[in-house]
Parts: sequence; structure tokens; C-alpha cells
Amino acid sequence: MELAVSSRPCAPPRRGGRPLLPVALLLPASVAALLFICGPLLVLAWQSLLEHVPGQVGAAADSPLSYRNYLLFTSPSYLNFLWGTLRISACAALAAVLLSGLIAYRITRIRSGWARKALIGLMLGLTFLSVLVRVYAISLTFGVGGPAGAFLRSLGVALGSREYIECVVILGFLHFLLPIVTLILIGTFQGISGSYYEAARSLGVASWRAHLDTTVRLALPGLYSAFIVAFSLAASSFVIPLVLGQGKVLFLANLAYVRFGEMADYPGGAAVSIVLLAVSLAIVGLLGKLLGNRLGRSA
Amino acid sequence: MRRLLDGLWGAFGGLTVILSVAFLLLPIAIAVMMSFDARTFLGAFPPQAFSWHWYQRFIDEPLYMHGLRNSLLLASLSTLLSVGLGVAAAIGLHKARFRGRQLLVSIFLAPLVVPAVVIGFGLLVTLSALGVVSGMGKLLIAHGVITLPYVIRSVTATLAGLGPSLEEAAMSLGASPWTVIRTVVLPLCRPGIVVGAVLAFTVSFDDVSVGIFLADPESTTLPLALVSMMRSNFDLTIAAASTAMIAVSCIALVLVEWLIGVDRLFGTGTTKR
Repeated sequence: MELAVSSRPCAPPRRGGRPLLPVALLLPASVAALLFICGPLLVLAWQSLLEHVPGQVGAAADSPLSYRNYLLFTSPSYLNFLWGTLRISACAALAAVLLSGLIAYRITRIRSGWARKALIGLMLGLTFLSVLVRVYAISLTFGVGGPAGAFLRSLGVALGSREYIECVVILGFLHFLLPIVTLILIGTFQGISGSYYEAARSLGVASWRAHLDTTVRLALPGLYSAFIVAFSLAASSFVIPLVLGQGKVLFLANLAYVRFGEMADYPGGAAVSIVLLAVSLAIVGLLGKLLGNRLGRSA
Repeated sequence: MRRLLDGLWGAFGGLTVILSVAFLLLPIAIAVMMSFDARTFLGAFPPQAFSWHWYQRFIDEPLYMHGLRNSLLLASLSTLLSVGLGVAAAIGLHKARFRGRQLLVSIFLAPLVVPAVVIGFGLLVTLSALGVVSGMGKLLIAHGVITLPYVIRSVTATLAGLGPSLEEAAMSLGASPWTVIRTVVLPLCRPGIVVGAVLAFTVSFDDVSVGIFLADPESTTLPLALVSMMRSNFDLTIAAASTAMIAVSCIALVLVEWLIGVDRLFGTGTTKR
């Protein structure tokens, strides 16, 4: 309390009982955020309710408001895009969390300082490396002329098939997600004491069983939230399916771009974008809550 | 038997880590090796002879050089913009407690959750309605938006770890709020500012999803040029460009290690054993 008294002589001028300086500091970013974050989302929602005349750029002049653009998603092909986006990104996120979990666990248990530093440095360096470069490297490796592609073709894999392309897209996501998820999970495993595991071991439990019952169980909340981060990153991705999908695997984000870039159908593209936004918010919000509740009950 | 199972389990874990690291590194090594291929077409791996000619072609291609210049300019300007706005906002948030503060934080961090394509498309429609015509202008605003949350988040995280005692000490010695910020708060959150700035620069330099909606031929960036090349002709100038970008990322990593240290970011192993 003494502090409050002693700081009074130099306290800033107050208006409505609130210091002016923090407000002044917050103002520029707040104005920018309102104009360029909230504004565009509202404009996009509005745009998605307008009508598009084929052959014209953008929305029709004085078009009435309708939800017709959203009816696109009643067609089987659009539902397929939506389902494909969710299915492929869920697969990629699950694989990324399983592998990263193992890697992150190992990193926190490594005794040698330089090996741990090298592994963390590698993961950090990869997150700094352009996604585009990594995606290109994957397509060189698993493409027709690449070593992995050539090897798989000699085994009889059809490199042009949709299944193969889908697998390459998932590999692209893995390359993108593994370093990020590993860095997230290092924090989780660092906080887990090894003594539970040691205790289980000393009671004669097998190593894998002891890990499952102690380390993995304690890491579950962290693994769940890493999965949600990975899932939402993948589901909203644009570049990876664009480059690796070869036009055969399209995500919602690519669909929005096609409607804008190739058809000049802004309202249709806006509707796809709003659906994409709803999907990623649902993943972060709904799924987060669902898994959180589940976890709360099981704990 | 049990010992054998335990050994297998340990080996499985170790093998997974080794294979994952190989999966992360080998494609990049292949791209780097291919960029030195002497053949003038995209041939099968491995390269037959060494040559710099893909690098020469990369440098001679005006689309790339123009894009590189635009990307460097854009990344520098948008980093300056988001550091300026973001550091001020983070300090403001640190100092102020008001109703709706949490909502404001969510709005600032929204670009981390909102898909980049949605931001790009939204800004396209909004900025043309506002009459912003310059491609560079649109890109600068857009990159400011997508890099701001990184700065705000990293500076906020640093500020949260400070605790009030140093600021209170300065205030009790008669420093004005502005002096406290300038001489106490700002120097203390320097690591957060540096991390935020490095992240902002990388995010801007790597952006495709937002820029693809806003760039015009004059303001095309390097990633956008690379994407259009990847879709049209799959030659190895892209591998040369990739190798150059890998070098840049290594520099960023060394910079972070030198300024803050990987250990300080991620600790030294497990804290509780």
C-alpha cells in the first residue's frame, strides 16, 4: 500500500479513473485490428450473402441478400471437399502427434547436452525454414524422378493415383507439423516427473506398460491440445495441398481461391471462406471443449 | 523375456526418432544436391555432375530477383510495423485492466486461428472497397495483420514473467510512467521483442496464402513467384532458390541461438526427474 501512496505524485493524469498511457499505447493496434481483422471478416460474411452473375467480376450490383452460396455445400462434390479436408488433416495431425510425442519424450530424456541441443536446434531451424521449400523438397523426393518415387514405382505403386497423391500430401503435412508439434510437446514432457515411471518399473511393470500408465497418461492433456493445434493448422492449409495435391487433392482453402481466381465469383469464394473459418473455429473451440470435458471426467 | 521386450521397446523408440529425423532432413538434402545438377533439365536423382548453372539462371530470372527484392522490403517493413504496434499494445495490455481486455487480446491473436486464406480474401474485398489500389500497400497491411500476433504473444509472454517489483521500485523513486516503460520495461522485454521480430520476418517472408489474393504483377513476392513456377515449369531454379532460403533460415537460427540461446527457449532437459 505504501507503494501506491508513494507513486501518487507522479501518477499520470487520469480521465474517468483510468491511466491515459496504456490506452494511448493500445490505441493504434486496436484501431488497426478493428479495421483490418474484424472489418474483413464482417465484409466477407456480407459478401457471402450476395449474388454472383457468371462472367462478371465480384458480386452483382444491388443484389438481394440470400443464403444461396451456402447451398453449394449441399452438393456431393463440395461435401467431398469438406470431408477430404477433415479426413486428410486429421490423419496428418494424428501421425504428427504420435511421432512428435516419441521424439519430444526422447529429447527431454537425453543425457548428452549437445545431442539435445542439436535435436532442438534442428526442429527450431526447420520451423524457420520456408514451408514452400520443404514442400518442394518432398515433391522432388516422392515425385516421378525422385529417389523415393522411383523406388516405390519399382514396387508397383502408381505415382499418379489419387491414393498416392493423398499420401504425399500427408507426408508434406508431417514435414510441416513434426517440428512444431515436437517443440510444443517438449514443454509437456519436461513438466512430467520421471519418478512415477521409475516407481512402476521398480514394481516390476514392463517398460512399455509403465510408460503407457505413467508418462503417456500424464501427458494426455498436452497431447490432446497439440493434436488440436496440428489439426487446425492442417485443415486451414493452402500451400501444401496446392503444390503436392497436383489438382487432385483440393482443400477448402484451395476451393476458395479457385472460386476467386478462376471464376471471379467473390460471393461463392466468400461463402467457402466462411465455411472454412467455421470449420477451424469448430476444431479449436468445440473439439477443444469436448476433449477437455472428456479429460476432466477421466481425471 | 521381459528384458528382451524392454530392449525392443527402447529400440523402437530410438528407431522412430532416427527415421523421423531422416524423413525431415533427407528430402531437403536431395533438393540441395539437385540444385547443383549440371543437366539442363530436371533429371532423375542423383545428379551426374556438379554445376552452378541453376543458380546463374535463378539470378538471371527477373521474376525471382524482383520477387526477392519485394519480399525483403515487405518483410522488413511489416516487421517494423508489427513490432511498433505490437510492443506498444503488449505493454498497454500489461499495464491496463479493463472490461473487454480478454476480447481485445482474442482479436489481436485472431490471425493465428483464422485461416490465412480467409484473411487474404477478406482483406481483398475490404481494401478494394476502401480504395487501396497499390499492391505493395495491400501486402504491407496484410503482412502487418498476420505478423502482429507473433510480436504481441512473445512480448506478452516476456512481460508476464517480469513481476511488478522492478516497475514499482522505479515508480517509488519518482520515475514517470513513461520513464518506467522506457528505462525498465522496454529493456527487460528485449528477448521477447527479438523473438517476435524474427518470427514476424519469417512469417512475412514465407507467406503465400494471404499474398496470393493481394499481389499484382508489380508487387509479386519471391514465394509467389516460386509457387507459380512450381505449377507451370518444374525446373531446378526452384531448388537453387530453396538452397538460398535454407541458408537464410540457418542464419536466423544462429541469430536466435546467439541472442537468446536455444537452451533458454526450451530449457535443459527435464525439470523434474
